[in-house]
Amino acid sequence: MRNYDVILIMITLALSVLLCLLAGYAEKVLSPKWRICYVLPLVVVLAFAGLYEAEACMTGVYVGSVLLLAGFLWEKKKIRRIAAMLAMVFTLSTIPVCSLSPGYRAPDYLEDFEEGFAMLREFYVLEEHKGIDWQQLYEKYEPRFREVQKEHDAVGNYMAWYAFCSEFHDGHVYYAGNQAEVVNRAEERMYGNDYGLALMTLENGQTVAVNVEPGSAPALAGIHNGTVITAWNGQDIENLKEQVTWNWDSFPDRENERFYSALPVAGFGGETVEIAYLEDDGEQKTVTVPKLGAYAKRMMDTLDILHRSPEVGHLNWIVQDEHVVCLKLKMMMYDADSYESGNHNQMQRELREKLIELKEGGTDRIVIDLRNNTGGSPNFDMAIAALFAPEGEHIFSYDGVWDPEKKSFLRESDGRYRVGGKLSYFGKNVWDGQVIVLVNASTVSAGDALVLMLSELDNVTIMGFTRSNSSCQAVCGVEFEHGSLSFSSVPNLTEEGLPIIDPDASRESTMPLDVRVPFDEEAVTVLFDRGEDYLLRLAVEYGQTGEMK
Amino acid sequence: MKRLIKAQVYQMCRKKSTAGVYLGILGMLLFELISEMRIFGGKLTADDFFLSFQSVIMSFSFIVAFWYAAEICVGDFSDRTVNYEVMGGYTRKKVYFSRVLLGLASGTLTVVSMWCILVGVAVAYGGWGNQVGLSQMVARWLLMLFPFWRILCEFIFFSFLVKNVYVVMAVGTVIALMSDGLSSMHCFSYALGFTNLYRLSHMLYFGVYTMSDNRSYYLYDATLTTGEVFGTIGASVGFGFLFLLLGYVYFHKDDLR
Repeated sequence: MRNYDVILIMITLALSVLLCLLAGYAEKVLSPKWRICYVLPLVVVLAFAGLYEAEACMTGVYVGSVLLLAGFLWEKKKIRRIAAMLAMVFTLSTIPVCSLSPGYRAPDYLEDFEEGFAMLREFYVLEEHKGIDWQQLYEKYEPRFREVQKEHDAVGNYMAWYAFCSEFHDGHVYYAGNQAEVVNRAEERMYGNDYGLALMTLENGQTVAVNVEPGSAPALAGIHNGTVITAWNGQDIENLKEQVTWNWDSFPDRENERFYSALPVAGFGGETVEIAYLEDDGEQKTVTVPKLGAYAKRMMDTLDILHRSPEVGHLNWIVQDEHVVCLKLKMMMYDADSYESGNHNQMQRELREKLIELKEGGTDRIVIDLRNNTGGSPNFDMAIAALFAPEGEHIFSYDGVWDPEKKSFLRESDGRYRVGGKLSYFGKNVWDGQVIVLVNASTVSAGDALVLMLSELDNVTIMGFTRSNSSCQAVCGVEFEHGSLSFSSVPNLTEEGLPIIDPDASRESTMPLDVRVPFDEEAVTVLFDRGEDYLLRLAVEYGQTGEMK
Repeated sequence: MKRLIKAQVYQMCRKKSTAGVYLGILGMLLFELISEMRIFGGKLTADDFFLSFQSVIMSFSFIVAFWYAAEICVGDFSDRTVNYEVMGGYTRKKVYFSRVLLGLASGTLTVVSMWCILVGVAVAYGGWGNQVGLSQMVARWLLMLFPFWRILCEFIFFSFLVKNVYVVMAVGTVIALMSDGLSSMHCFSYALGFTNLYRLSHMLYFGVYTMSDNRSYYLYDATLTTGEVFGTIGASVGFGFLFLLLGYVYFHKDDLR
């Protein structure tokens, strides 16, 4: 039970007892003021109900406080005592009702879904681009939320929202729960059981074990990082990939989806799972291993390893050698003032001075690490890009034209958005040496935007296992009682009025990737055995030779 | 009962404080309105202003309504006018309900007239705007009259309990100013008049913006659901009636000292 409900029950009970005793005293010491006391419980109940919302399970308390009004209306001791005793009984009856009822303080999940769906339908800017079928989506998910509402299942609600948002394949459509415990339990349910290892698919199509738990049953059976797994629980792994319903992210593009597709498979299974694998000498073996717990933690840990990047602060420079320096950008933001105003002159001045200093010191290659960059301000992007771009105007994208009357962005007759003002920046040509930009699937939003801006420069190479996330429309959020929904609400357009960066219904990303680093045995060894930053090492080597060793 | 009401109206009209309080609070709100709209170089529209400052306007207009209700309902206890009315042959029911009706009417007239003046000036100065429809907002404001009446009924009941016009005015002022503070508690409930008002004055919204000219637009969902309408009216009428009845029961047996 909630603390405030407990407090209200205690107060109402105490007042009922006091008013029962007061009835006898009021008969002896006559005063019209005693009547006011019998209104107090109702005032207290109203105050609590107003501050913390009324609750059907607390009806006993509400009825009790109303019954005590009898003492206000009639001044007879007997009536007052009976009313007080009845109030006590009703108040006490609330305790088992609240404690045992699953509907106690149950939120209205269905209402949140209806509101969120209506907002999306009206304001989501990529519905045609991504081929969203609203009717089909509603018919698929409304029953699910109705069931969640009926069961008062907070975890089920989060999982339903997660699945619903995944349908959009847009990195900017997501539901954020506001209770960490609910999110954790949902992840445990979604990702299944931990058997002491995770799975990844190599460039050559083989699925291998990664992040193997030392001393676990798979490890004792000879499975290590890089061991080829041929079957999981008696089934072909490619078939199991088809059965994955939960992924750690709703990938806009198929390339990223394929890259991570084996990861959730390692959570499939019951109390035990049979793993078929190839020993180092090529011999086919199987081992049955028990579950260790929930797979969510190992999966997230595996992702952390895959996405490993220098553990330094935002906008930090890390010297790699006498010729190469790495600039870490964790987000597209300098400080709160510049974020609000869009003016990044100070940041740009500081970076400019640093670049000149590096050039004079003999540095001729810069690695810009945009891995796990969560985005932020496009103005920040343009301020950075300007330092590397040749002089002259560089147009990044165009705004849509907002119609305040219709409360939507205007479209042309062929359905494309009408193009409004342009977003452009003027190059300062501060750095003309080689630039290598590191990306991964978690490079998103304004991170995507900077990748696109820099990719247009001749001296820039984009490198990673996969392309960046490919989600770059501007976002808004709607708050609900138990979470918030974010979605793309403002289009960033090409000159032709089409959304930039975000892939269409074909889910083929157009984001640049000049060097696709193969995820092979060496990558597994360096990342999972040695714990090193594989991509950064390759970026430094590439800068030296123009190719990867 | 008509004579009792007329006497009260005559008394209120003759008091300088009646006009002084009204004009003072209205002047303050108008000053706030014009200064806010000017700060933005005339770009702030009326809907911008009301969506941002609704709770402040409510608080201060309620102060005036509470003061009038206090003066009408219990202002005559100190000089025993109420006793003389009862002794003069008027029933307690007539004495009570004449004051209650006039208190409700004066409060409503005060609040409605203030809002009409503010809306008129805001629209004349900067136009209504496009974030939310004027007709939708007016519908909400009309619905907000119900919890306002309920609050006034509860206040009138409290006035008859305390019977001291200055104490009642002070408490009314504090409660009216606290109503703005309730917005920080994020309560949506029909249980209290203020939380009901908060529920009606806050709408689901989100922002869109354009990068090239750095403009932001806010979109509000001002539609009222059937549940909100019936819930508001039901709770307001129910609790308003309850507290007026309690007030009458108390007054009926009170020794008027």
